[in-house]
Amino acid sequence: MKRIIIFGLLGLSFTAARAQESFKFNPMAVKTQYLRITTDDASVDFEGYDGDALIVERVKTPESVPALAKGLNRLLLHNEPVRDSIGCKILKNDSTFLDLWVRGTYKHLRIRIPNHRFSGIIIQAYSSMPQAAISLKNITGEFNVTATAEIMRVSHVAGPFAISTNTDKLILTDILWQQLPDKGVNHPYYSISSNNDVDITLPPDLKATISNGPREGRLYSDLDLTPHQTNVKNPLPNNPKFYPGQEYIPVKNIALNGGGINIDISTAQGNVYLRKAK
Amino acid sequence: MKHILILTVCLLCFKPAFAQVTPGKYVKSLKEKQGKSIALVIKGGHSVSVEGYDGDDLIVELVDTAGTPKNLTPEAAGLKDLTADLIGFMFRAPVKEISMQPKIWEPAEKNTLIDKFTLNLSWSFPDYQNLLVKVPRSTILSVYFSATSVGSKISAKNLSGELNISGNASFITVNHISGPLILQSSGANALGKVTISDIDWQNIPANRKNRPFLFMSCAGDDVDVSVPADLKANVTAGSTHGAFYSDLIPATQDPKATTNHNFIWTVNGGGIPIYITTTYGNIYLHKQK
Repeated sequence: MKRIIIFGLLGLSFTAARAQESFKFNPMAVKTQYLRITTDDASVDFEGYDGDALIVERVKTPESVPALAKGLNRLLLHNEPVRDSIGCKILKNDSTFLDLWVRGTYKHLRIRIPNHRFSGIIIQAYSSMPQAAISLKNITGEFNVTATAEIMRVSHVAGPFAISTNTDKLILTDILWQQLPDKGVNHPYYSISSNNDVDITLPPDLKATISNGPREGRLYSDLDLTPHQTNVKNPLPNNPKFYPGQEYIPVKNIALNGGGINIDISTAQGNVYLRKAK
Repeated sequence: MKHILILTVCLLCFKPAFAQVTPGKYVKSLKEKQGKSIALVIKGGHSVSVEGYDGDDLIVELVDTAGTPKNLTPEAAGLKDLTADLIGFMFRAPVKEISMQPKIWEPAEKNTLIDKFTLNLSWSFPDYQNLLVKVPRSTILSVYFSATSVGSKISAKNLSGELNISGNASFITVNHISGPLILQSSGANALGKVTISDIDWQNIPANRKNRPFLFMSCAGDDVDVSVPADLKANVTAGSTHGAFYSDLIPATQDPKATTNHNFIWTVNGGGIPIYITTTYGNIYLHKQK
């Protein structure tokens, strides 16, 4: 009996000490819930899928030796983690909001998000680690992303969305652009902003109206883009500093195929590349 | 006539306080300022090259980069530059019509708290992105560079005086120096890199032996330092998130811990203190070839 108890205790200790490599959570079965995920210091792949559970798992990456390190000794700085783990914490879970905080020592994670479970998704992914990358794909609903990383890739998502990044490069491909119903909202349904380069691939037959653009950088494209000016109702006709007395004010944008879906693209210091989808 | 006189007087008053120059060369004799520290405070632009030479003048040259846009990148291959046509249409006049003068000015000497000659330079002008600075080789030089563009660069070479570089440039290169170097990089660009090479520290003054000859503190950059193979040094190195590689120190040598992230190793029996720290980058300390 004594031995059984000892072995039992040893087994429990071993389970606790083992690195946690995944986290699984079943959200409430209500579609009124919004999801917020916050991640720190890791590359993260966010993927929408048809399942029911929210899954956080480790992506195994081979240890790479930088080219500059060839022929040199690696000296231990003692900053290596003692034990790798995924640390997930549900900060809130009620009928309107599920708030998940993901931490841990792994450098690369995959987070699988059930597409049909949430009204909207808010992602806050921050990593200052070298070569950190954030990717987002197969999300079918509305989302809002704020990210800090070296590079961010967004593909095969429908939106509406707002993407705001502090990255060297933000790349959007294979976006399922759609003319969304007018809900009387005075802002674009597709908002993309970054401090550096923004690279977007667009179908050549897409009808779109593009506003803003690079503030300091340049605009490059192989699409048939044209200047586009419309007149909109002046929201402040009595303001002496804002088109005083004018009922309509001119708004200048860029049109693709005569204009259509509103896409707002802004970057502080980088270039904007608008490419024709092949 | 009265108006012309007033305007002329205003212009004459303005000139000594704030000497604007047309794009080109700025030359200042440093003969009377020998032994003084020279500080260059640079705001804007894409790259700064500082070179020591055998003359007595400080020469600042804005390099005309019109026709070689700084943002022409491989990603733009096969695409048309539509900035002037479309962004110009929306927000600003076509790029070629922007007219701004780069500004160079010297603060009045009486306002400087320390015995240092300071030169300020700031500009935001797409056609003049590169700056070339020549200083007498033995100048005690401080360069503060606040860049506004991605991939910005600063380089310094052929200097024998103490050199102090700080700023946020993505790439910092220092070579062919024989004096102490203090370098602080706040660039948060993960692709950033600091490269130090061709150091000649044959004549280290006795009063410098206990003070760091190399002090580097970087934020996001990789640090690549080549030093003479026979250098006797105590190397303090640390990286909060990166790794440390070296062929000067055997992998078996245990460091002495100072803090959680900083450690000291001895090289060739120990000697002058060297400090290298970076928050997110790797450190490469190797023998000069």
